[in-house]
Amino acid sequence: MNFLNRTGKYKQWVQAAMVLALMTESSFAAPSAKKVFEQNCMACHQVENKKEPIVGPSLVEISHLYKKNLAGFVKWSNSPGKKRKNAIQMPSMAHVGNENLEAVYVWMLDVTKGKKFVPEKPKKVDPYALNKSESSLPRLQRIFLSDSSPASIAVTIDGQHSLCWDTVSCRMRYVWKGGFIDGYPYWERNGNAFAKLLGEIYYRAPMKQDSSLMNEKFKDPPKFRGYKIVAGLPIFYYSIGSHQVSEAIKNRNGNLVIQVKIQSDETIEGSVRYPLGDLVKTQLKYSAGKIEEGVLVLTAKEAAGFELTFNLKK
Amino acid sequence: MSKSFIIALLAANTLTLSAADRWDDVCEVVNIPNPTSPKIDSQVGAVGTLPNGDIITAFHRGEVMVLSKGKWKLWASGLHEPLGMHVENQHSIVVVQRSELTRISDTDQDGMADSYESLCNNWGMSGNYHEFAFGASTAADGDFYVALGTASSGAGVRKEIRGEWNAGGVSAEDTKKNYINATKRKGLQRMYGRVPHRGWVIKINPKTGEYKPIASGLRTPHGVCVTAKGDLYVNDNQGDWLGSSKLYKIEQGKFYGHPASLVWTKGWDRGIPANLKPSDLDAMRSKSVCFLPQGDLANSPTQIIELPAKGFGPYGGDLIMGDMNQSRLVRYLPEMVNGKEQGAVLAFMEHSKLGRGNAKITVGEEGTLYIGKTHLSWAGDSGMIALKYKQVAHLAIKKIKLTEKGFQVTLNEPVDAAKIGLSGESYSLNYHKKYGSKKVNPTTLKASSVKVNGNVIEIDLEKPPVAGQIYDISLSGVGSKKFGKLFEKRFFYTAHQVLTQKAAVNDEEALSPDLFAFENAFRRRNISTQEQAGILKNAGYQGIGSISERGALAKLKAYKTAGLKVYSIYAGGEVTEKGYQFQRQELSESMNFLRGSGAMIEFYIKGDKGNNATRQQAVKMMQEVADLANEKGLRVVIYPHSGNYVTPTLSQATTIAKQANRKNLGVMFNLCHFLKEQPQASLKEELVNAGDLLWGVSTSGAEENGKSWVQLIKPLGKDSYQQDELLKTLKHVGYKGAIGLQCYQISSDPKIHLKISADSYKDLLKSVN
Repeated sequence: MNFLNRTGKYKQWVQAAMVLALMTESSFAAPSAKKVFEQNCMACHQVENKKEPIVGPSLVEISHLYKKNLAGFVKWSNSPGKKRKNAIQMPSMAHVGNENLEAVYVWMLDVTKGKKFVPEKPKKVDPYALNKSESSLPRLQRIFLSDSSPASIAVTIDGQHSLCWDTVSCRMRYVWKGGFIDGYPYWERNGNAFAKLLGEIYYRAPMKQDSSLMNEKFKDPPKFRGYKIVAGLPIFYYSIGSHQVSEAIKNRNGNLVIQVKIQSDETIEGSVRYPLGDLVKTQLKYSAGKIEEGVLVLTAKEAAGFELTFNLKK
Repeated sequence: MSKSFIIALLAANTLTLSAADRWDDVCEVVNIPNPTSPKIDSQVGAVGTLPNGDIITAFHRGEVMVLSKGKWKLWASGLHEPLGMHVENQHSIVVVQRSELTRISDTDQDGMADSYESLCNNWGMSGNYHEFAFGASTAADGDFYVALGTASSGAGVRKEIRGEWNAGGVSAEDTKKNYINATKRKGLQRMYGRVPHRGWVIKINPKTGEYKPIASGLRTPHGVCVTAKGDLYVNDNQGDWLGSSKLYKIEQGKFYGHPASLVWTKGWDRGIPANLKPSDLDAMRSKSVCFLPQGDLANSPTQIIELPAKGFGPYGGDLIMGDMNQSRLVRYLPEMVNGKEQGAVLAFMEHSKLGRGNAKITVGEEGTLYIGKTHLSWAGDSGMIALKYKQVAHLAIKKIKLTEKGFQVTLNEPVDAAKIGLSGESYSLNYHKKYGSKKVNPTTLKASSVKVNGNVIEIDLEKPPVAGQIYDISLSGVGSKKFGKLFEKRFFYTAHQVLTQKAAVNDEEALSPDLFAFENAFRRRNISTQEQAGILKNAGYQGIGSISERGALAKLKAYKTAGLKVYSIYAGGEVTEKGYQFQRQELSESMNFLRGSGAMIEFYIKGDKGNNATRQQAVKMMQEVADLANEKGLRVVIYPHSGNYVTPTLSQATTIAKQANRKNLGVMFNLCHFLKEQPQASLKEELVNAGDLLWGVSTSGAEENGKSWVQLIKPLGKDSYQQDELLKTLKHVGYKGAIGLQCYQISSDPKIHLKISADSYKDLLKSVN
């Protein structure tokens, strides 16, 4: 009986109680301990914490903690501390009396017999998550994003309305609303995870495409040149052949705006085409050109400077 | 107590106090509080020192902050795993991110960066987490060096990748499919480099955005450092193909041993490199300058920097690096041996409070290193510390030089000639597909003598240093009255090269080897020995050699009768992991006949595997053959044969010969086997490495880049190979043996081709001398 406390008194008592506990249910000690438990403890402690709400730890957990420590159990019950930071403080059970507490202890070991304590997995919380005011600011973050190249950039205009910009095809890949990103799955380890998008993607650019802008003379794939930050938001720069393109991301009353400019010494011949994705959920405005079969078609002159405004359809 | 005695006591006491006994006495660690506004994950990805002395740090989540007078201020943000930095000026830095080399500038100088210029973004990315990009050290021409880590089989690749997919000879579509979202380790190479130029160090031209691949064979090359002299050093982390972490001195075009990167070698057509024979890969690779022994010194070496000349006492100008797992830095002491750099590594600034994860280092104010820590979920730490050298005089090792018999250790102060002891071991490491390596044949080292001459300790080992061994040596009892005891007394020397007594370079003495023809010039031709003797004499050969062991005795007798000198016989044996065999009886009879003739036994080693067990058997076999030959006063050379597992190359033959350690056992160089087995290797390196064990040489005409025997064995002068390179090198190493002419399967009339070769040989010899 090595689980018994050193002190002789407890030892004797527990031995006696164990013998009684082994007797029939109608025997004297067991119902008494159960009754004590029901009257004093059950409001906060369940046998297995299967029912909500849970205030204090389950008897299975307490048995696990005090399996070999009767004295500790009695001591804690008389003068409880706090193991869970946000839990409600347990009141003292001094009024129950040591003998009854000891009885509850023995009864508890009995009812939890064979039940293994499985600690709850603490939910992983990003210790460096942005606070509310920080997360409503415009922001740019390079990280692994799904459904885009590994060299992609997440941008939010206000913490709610966000886009993924791909530096390989030099174009916006999708827009979502409802938040920015949770990079913790990537950051907590070594990068073997995508950032989680917070919110819902409502617009996706067409999947297979080398570039956002198309023209019969645009033969070279686009080349990313970098970006500048103005008022917290980026202006992306890239070139297609000798044509220099910029895409400025703007916030206009919560709408996500992409201002496209093409600078070129060469004259662009023919139309410039900006293929669009499914617009079922998207409220799209465009400052120039016309949509023909899912493609925004612009004249060379229009393409020199135009903008697209995205929002989720109401 | 007399007054003078008290003074003496005080003085002695002061001396004791000032003497440094451990690293804690000579440096201190100052913790730098983490940034609080914003509160960020303080894992450090890159550090630099701004011209005004402020420290600039890039963190794991992409923030860049400036540490000025103890306070952090946000300067830039949004980067993707920055792992290297170069400071351009007070307002501009260049950072290596996973995806890009980026110039970040605060163009309006308002204290926040506003421009992120992409300097290079066209190296490959599969999206695998282990594809880190490290750097960026600048070359003299303003280009940047970046080292690209390989992908890990801990995960697959992403559906969308950047750059071309290279399946290494396997159907591209199929393989990539297998790699997308692959389950951990299933069917993937442990580390792979299927997008360009993973496992390479590249040189980026920031003006054009293009890069040039420089060298391959890297795995996770964290440290990239160009020294003041302009040398490029890169270190690599222990793993598959790296028995332990290593330090490389990078030369353009070389392959440093981790095979994954080879698929990006121009014209690669040999399939998945890791599936090649390890001996093939071994022959292709260039070696490190030093191993960083796993566990004993470093597990995952990090950034390398060159300490400034001033501020770090005896360590000024030394190359140092950090390590992720061990609570110490590492210092490297190079030297040149046989024209090649190699050296020793020692623990450095191992302060008790240094801690782990020392990934990034920059030099701050005089004598201060700022060290950024990271872990990325592996061993390590986070945050920054300042490590200050306290300018306390102490005894330190300045130089370690290999000698013929051991080592010469130079300290910064004369040491007492007290009883200096030595303990340690030597061992080698496996070069194989498996992760890491056990220590192979660890052997306890003993000194035969230790002498002190001022600040130089001369150590002779009982057994002279052996090539390919790592020497882990700890000195004891080294001290000086002035500086106290030597506390950093353990060093790890990698002896790829060793010095041998007769390796004296001799370019002055003319090269004049006898020329003999291989017996195979006459194979399957019905020419009598008498006629053969006539042909050879007329053509200008001094004799015949490489006489096949089968029925050798009868042939030897016939040649003797014909008055033809025999230079060598060609015999061989076979090893397995459990034993070996060779034709004892026949060989012994031939040897008896050749007794005292000066003829050599060319001996090849066949076997079904090339591993430690078969190599050990090969050593035993060569000992027996050499002992047998020794009884008849004959010498034996190991004949490297292409395709043999145990000794396909001269260097492997040399290793076996050295291990067998017999006075009459040397090695032979065969040009055709060299060209077939090691088309990329340096002839000179191979021959120099063999040192004074090189007793036999065979040559033949060969086609440049030839692959088949027909292309590699032709009459001399009827080929495109620069034959004089071989002769010049032999002259350079002072070769004293004969040269045999390999004639295997030359189809033309021996009378004619032997004459052509002999004439050509004479011309070559003239041109070389």
